[in-house]
Amino acid sequence: MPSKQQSIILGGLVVTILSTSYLSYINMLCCLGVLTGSMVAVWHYTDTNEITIRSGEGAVMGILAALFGLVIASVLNFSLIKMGIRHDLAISQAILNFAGDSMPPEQYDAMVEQMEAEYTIGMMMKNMAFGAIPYVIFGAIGGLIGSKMFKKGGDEPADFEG
Amino acid sequence: MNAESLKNEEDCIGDGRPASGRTLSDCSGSARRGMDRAGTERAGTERARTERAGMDRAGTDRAGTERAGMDRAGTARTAENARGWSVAFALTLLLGLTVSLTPFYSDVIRGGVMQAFSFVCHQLPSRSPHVGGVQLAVCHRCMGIYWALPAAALVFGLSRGLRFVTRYRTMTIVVLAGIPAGIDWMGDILGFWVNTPSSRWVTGAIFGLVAGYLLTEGISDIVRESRSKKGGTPRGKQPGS
Repeated sequence: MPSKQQSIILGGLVVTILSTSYLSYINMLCCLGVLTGSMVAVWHYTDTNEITIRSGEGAVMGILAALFGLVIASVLNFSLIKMGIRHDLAISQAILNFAGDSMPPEQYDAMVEQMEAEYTIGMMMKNMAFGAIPYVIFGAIGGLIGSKMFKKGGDEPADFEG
Repeated sequence: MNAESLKNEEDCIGDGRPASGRTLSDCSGSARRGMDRAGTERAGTERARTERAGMDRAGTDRAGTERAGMDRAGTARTAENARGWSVAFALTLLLGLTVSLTPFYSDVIRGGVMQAFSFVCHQLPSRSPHVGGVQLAVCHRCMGIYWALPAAALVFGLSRGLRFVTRYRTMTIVVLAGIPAGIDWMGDILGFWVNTPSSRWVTGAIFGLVAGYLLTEGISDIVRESRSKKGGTPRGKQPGS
């Protein structure tokens, strides 16, 4: 079976771009960035090799692309935040602007405190760990849907073991 | 041929047998030959009838075996489909419950779930459902998507694994399913209307149904493939095929 590495890296790069800084808000449309990246991985693989792949293979490719993207995007986001580009505060700021008045004072204070806290490597690791859950779920979903959408070798998957 | 021999012929081979009161030796040579011919034809006919009956029996047996094989394959396929959509239903239901049960979690677990799903949803309080004053983990539209996923698995099960989504242009169907949500969102952003929790929920659910159906197909395939591997059936083969 042809190597999937290149396609996974390509899909992972798409996930990275769509998970970095302000572009990461696209993921708030039901993890659209992760879905897109994992689908791109499957599309590239099926298109390059002119084959149809199994759903399981698509799901694994999607998960790997999503995790690759998550790791690289986390490192990039950490660097950008350290450079002063605080995309992570935009949503908190929006919440405070829209709902700050009706918010319990302790919740308001907690949010402000969280916004003022320094972004450390520990926070990055924690974010990465929590982010891995939806990224794995939506990477698998994207890969699965991609394997159903991009059938370049007929309806039946190629069997390289037979 | 004179009248005597003609009578002899009629008596002897009228029905291929010597007429009553006559023995075979009474018949002339030509009549005996006629009788032989008639006998041969009768034997041939009987043989043909026997062969035909045999073929019919064999055909019926073969058809019966094939039908039984097809029934068995159909039953196996139905069982595989049932397993597939059940797994998909369980997984997607778990996802739906995870985002919906935040009011019942401890503070630590709720914090973890909220943080995990903050990657995939804006979680704006004004656009998110609340239960008992506690915000759920995702917004109305995402909630519609998440609950449509198990619903789609049920539809897949009820349609006995009918693959009507992948039979047509999958990409087009997925994009079309996302258009209502896009229009609802865009209209609100551009100020044409103010979308409501119901409109966000319904448009999300439309997309979720299509995505969930595809997802169930995929999970169903994975379940079938894993069982095929365990059972030693060649990969990619339908059970009984």
